[in-house]
Amino acid sequence: MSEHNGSFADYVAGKEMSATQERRAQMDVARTHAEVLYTEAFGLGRQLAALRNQKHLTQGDLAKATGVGQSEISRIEVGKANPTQETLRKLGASLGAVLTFATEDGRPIPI
Amino acid sequence: MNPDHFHREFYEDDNGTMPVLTWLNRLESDDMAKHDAIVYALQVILAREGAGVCGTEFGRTLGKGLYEFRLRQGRGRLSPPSEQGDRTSAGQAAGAPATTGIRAEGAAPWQWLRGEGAPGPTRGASAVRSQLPDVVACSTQGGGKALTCNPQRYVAYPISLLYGGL
Repeated sequence: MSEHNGSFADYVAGKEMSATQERRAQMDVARTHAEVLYTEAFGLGRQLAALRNQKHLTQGDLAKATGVGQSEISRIEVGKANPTQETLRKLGASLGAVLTFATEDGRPIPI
Repeated sequence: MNPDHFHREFYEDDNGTMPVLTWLNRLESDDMAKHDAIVYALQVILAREGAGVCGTEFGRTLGKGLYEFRLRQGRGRLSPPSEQGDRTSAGQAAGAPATTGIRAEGAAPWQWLRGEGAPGPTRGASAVRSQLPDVVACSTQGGGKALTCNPQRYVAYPISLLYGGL
């Protein structure tokens, strides 16, 4: 028990270090899957916040520019909203971005 | 580890027992894929978002300082249909719905408890709280296992501890 001293991260690291090659492959699948779930839930909001920050805009600035409510922008950025395509289009257009699909490993899908 | 990530620890009670660790080890023996799904969801999603998962598909506020972390999808999504199993009892306990075209590979729901309004803390939990100003505890809905974190610092312990033996 002391090998991880109660740290969850150390617990995971210990499991990975002691894993067989086959087991490690299974763990990699699970990790990849968790990353995909994370990206699906939070990626778009993170991208929106990053774009907004790159433009040195506050959420209020973006709200005024797009007509989308500041609270809605906030909820989108933290992954708690379910915005319409039109809302995302407005936000993207104001930030010089377009909404597209990408593969799960992040590669853009040609139109 | 990214310094922006939430630090997570196993709750250790006054007897030196880490119930979540015990549970995870058992789960690993029973269903390795489910174990891995939960472990990496906690490692990736909870570590990055902490209580921010509330209001998303991964968590919600239950009230009175109680929160829940839930993983609705596991390996089933990555496996061909012929390899998918039925929804697990853990998933059923969570009321996890099957996802479109994919059976939910139920992973145990996690809950965490935050702040002074937490019901029925044990001696161990109280002791942890006294050391950590902003403690959050996690546990599963179905059977009392927990994890930890801290934002800061979250500490997890079994729901059976929280409720005195649910």
